[in-house]
Amino acid sequence: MTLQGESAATRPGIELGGRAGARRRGGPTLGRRLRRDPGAVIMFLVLVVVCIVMLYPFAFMIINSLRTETQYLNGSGFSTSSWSGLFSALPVGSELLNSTLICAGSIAIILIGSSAAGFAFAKLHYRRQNVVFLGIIGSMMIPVQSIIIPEYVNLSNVGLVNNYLAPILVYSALGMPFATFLMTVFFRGLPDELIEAALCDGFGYVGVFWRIAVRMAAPALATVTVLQFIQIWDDLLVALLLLQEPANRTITVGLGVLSSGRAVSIPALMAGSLISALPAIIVYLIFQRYLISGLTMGVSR
Amino acid sequence: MATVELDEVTKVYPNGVEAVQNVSLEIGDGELMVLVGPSGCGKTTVLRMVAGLEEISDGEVRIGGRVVNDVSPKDRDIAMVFQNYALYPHMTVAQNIGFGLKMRRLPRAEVELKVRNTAKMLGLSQWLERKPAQLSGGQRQRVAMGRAIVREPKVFLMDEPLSNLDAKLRVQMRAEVSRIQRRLGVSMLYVTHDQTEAMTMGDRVAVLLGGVLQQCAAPQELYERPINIFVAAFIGSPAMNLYEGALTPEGTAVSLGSQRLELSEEVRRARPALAAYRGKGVVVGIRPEHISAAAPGDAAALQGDVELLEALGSELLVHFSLDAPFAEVLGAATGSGGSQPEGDDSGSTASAWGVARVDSGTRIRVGERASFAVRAGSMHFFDPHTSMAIWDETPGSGGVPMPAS
Repeated sequence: MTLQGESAATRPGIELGGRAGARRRGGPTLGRRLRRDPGAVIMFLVLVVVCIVMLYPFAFMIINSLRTETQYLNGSGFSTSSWSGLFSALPVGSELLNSTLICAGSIAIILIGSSAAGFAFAKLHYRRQNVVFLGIIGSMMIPVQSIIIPEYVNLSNVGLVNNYLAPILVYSALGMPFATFLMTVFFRGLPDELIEAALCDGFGYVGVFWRIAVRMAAPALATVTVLQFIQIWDDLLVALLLLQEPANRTITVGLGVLSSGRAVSIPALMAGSLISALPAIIVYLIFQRYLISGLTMGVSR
Repeated sequence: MATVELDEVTKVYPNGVEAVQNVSLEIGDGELMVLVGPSGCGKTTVLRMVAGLEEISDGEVRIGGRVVNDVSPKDRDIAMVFQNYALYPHMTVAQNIGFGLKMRRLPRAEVELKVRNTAKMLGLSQWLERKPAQLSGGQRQRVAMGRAIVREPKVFLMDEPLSNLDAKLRVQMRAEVSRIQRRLGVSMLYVTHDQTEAMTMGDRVAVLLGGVLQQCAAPQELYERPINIFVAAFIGSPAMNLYEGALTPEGTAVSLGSQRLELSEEVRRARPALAAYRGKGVVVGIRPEHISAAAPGDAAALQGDVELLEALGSELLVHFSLDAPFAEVLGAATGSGGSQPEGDDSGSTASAWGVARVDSGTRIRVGERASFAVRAGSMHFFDPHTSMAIWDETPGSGGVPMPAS
């Protein structure tokens, strides 16, 4: 929701004038801030170190993906042979497609399920509502490793092993509790009057949910999408167990297989890891402007 | 356009709290009825029950003669304006106004025409493509009004729509809401806690306290003949001065502490029921505007020490102390400008104070002892036990009992 105070700056005829206005628009320069505030210097140095720690693996991955095995061991020279080696060793295209299909399917189910459940928990009132909500939140504490064998047995019994539906259902079930929690917090922040205004405008609760609540939930939905995408895309265990046919493998499983071979090519592995990491980075960059507001929602009204 | 009838409507929440008790009210076709009362008096609950946003525990709500107890809000043909406007933030002004029409599947051209006409009426034409976040409070309030008006509903329901505006804009919008309601001729139920808003806008005003309807009457009648102490204290700004007093055995004067106010034959004749209180205690109510600086020889005059002066330009509010005890007013978070402490002990003999609204030219100074003339004909008398006004009926009858404190 937009704060009242925001409107003044965008209202016509009201301009922030003079030097104060300029400062408010642009703020002091970084150099001036660092000279004035010793705390900022320390913070700046810490951030530089954090950046190096974060970016070093990427730099390592990119540089070494452009080397042969020998060049990697010598630490000098560049070549693209590892990339051609990767594409000949792994069906990268189909594995990326498998990962994408599974991610998209799981996230679609999670978004639909969690937003509907979150809206119901936040805005509809029924008996034992809190007990059900606590049950769902409590299920976040169950580690996937503890239930993966029974899950495998159940899915095998219904003939879903080696079917994309198996990991999609498991990922959806694993991701749903946290997503529901996040969506509930978001919808609790929506004023009840907004829902009631829509009810008076001619909606039922389904219409209010779909036409009003979901349209306003973009930050929360984006947050759920990013968090779940990264988790599902990077997961090895579920996909490895439930998709055993080579043609059904995801990119993470493919890389796992590559790294477990007898002769491991580090540059090829780096190239594969880079390809594997790229979609998650792209998804993060697309949705990052929503991510902070999504994660801090409910902190203040 | 339609009438709205509430027939012994009661609301009991699951935790047992009785928010509204047997409220019966009829809003005439095209009438602007204001529900007023202090916070928690049940006025918004009544409004929400009419809107269908709150279940009715007992009684009936009828709109246009049809019982709507179990009818969903969208099928009641009502439009509601909320205190915080409840505009859809992801839609433009035009989309906000036209949304209800779109949901009723009106042709797009017709929706656009109605939206344009409504926006023109409210002076919003140039903001149609803006989002609510880009508007000022007053503009947002108008958009909320527009959203209600455009649907041409049978009834407008307004839940403190002006509370979030600054004082000047509130006065301006107050007139605008009344003007629009009169122009459209649609019945309106308007909730506010501000008695000035209630008095200036309402064709009739219903005063609630503790979920009980105290009095429903035209503003002037509420002001001139409040049915009980609460209504008397709530209506009027500054609030009525209320003191514990006693009628003399002859019934020709009333004593307030050590002071005495003579009651003329005319005053007594206008209140025949007062005769039954000879030699007994009564609560005396005097509105600040009925107190003025006394001229020599005034029969009904009070002596008081001036403690504070508030200059309002055209008039002067004089706060003075006197030795008459305050009368207790239940739930007396009075409308605005209340001058009496809530729940002051009725038996207290500590000196009370009063407020007089006098001409700005009156020569008076803080600290001096002044004589104040009271317009005896405008005085109010209440039964100290039932809190009911004493007029021409049997003492304590014909009114609404005060809810338990």
